[in-house]
Amino acid sequence: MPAVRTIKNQYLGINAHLHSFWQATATWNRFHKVHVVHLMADLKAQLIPLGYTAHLDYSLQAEKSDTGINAIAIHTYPSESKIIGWIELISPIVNLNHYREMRNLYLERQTVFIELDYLHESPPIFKYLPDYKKDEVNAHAYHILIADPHPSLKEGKVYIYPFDVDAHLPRNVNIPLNARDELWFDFNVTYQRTFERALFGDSVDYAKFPIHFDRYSPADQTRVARRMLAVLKAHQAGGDLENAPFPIEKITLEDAIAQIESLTAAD
Amino acid sequence: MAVIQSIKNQYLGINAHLHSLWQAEGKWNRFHGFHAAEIMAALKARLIPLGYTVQIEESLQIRRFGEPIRSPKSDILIRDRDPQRPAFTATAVVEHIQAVALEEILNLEVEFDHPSAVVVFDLSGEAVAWIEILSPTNKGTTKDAETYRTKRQFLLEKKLVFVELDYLHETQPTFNRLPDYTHGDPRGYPYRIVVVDPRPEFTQARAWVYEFSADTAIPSVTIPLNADDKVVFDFGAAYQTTFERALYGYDMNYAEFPLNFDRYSPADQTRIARRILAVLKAHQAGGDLENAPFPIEDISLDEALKEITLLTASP
Repeated sequence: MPAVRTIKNQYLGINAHLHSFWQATATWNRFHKVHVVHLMADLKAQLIPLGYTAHLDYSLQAEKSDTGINAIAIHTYPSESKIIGWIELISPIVNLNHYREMRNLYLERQTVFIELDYLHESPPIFKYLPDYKKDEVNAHAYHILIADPHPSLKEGKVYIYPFDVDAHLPRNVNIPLNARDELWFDFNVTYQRTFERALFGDSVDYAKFPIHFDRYSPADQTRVARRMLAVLKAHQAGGDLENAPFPIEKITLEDAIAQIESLTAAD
Repeated sequence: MAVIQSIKNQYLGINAHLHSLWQAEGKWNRFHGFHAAEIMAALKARLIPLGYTVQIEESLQIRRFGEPIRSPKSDILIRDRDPQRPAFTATAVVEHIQAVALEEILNLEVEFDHPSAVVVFDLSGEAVAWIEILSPTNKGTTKDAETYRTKRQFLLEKKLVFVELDYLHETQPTFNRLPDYTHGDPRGYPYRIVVVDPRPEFTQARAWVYEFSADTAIPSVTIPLNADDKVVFDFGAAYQTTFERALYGYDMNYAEFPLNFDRYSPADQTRIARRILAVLKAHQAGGDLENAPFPIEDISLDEALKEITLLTASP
């Protein structure tokens, strides 16, 4: 079967094909560098009317600065006296000890810390979260985590937004700012924008299973297979795949795989 | 006077206010990654129909085992050899780069560990071209700068077309033979895009140097690909998209002069002052700054400075 590609992301959220590919081929930076930029732009547009702003800054994931890996710093605006919030998009190669040390330092300085973990093949950075890779109970492929150290480190709270394959990224995340200020941010919108603007769909073939498909849980394998089947059927019916997402059928993994194999063997 | 800002870049090209700010305060990283991503997206849309694609990759860092990096010396003849290319403020052809013995690049250890570059691939996945946005650390005489030049040499030896964007007027060019703006060379320009095509052989490499001034449009540049394929890419459009999408206009104030204004040449100071004056007058007249650029007046630097002082002194 010829490759089935689209500009629009066919998944409701994280594109499992691409995230598997980037992790398998050590090309995560292709996504990281672009997505951080789009997050910064979308955050800045919403923060400025609230009296805050966002800038790219050196990530805490690397020990030396100027590695090209960026994080996002949230400051007050127009005066940038203090970092209010810090957002890290987690990479597969993180110097964990250094990173945790730095994160603790930021939290001690009363900086709200936000981690976006879209890597299902790596263990979670926060140790007490269930490990998806080890198939632990209640583990999810992805999560967003907000650590709010206010009013103090002891009394602060961590908010976790876990989500699965082919589910929207959290669309209504509360990012605490100074005092009672807060920003409600839709991470799904920015993710989809990144996917389309960077033309990442060019690297996805929905007629093939993601690399290391077995590294997804059975439930997520089912979600991937159902999504692939929906795309292949729409493609076969001559539908415009840029009108995605298409409805999925609630069938078992085995049924979905059998139908996918039948469809992809046809041409 | 109140702060004057706009989402749209008021300059025709590089925003002198912001580039001065980022260089003065060590905040170049606020721009570098963002612009690389925008160039990648815009270039990809142009390249896919031609059978190529583009990705952001780690820049190469090249080290020699057990010894310090030696800097290759470029011996460059500048001559315009391409009459088909559109004329820019200053366009020159660097026709020859001195050959460096192959042993110079043997025993290289390559690490993927530095700011991002934009890399063009053909359908087989082979890298064809490498686009680098220079950072302050890439320039000058530091160890990092030496590493960068060695990396560039390495990529040219690999026969990759190399495109270097130099939007940093406070540091000298990475090509020794180009006039140095930082030392007041009257032939120097603050900004440049250099395209080096090392094919068919490194010793026959040709380079195209597009130099331009403050408040001048950033050029469209021809990037050679495989065989006779090429793409003409508008770096100016990519810059303006970056500026607007990143909302950089909120990080600056046109009612003030750029930091370290004296680091621009007198001619560029004049261009900047005229631009500031045009913005201030448009603002005072109640014009919408999002309709920029506004026409500038052909007046001297002194006259422009006087008018700016008058305008900004009033509430």
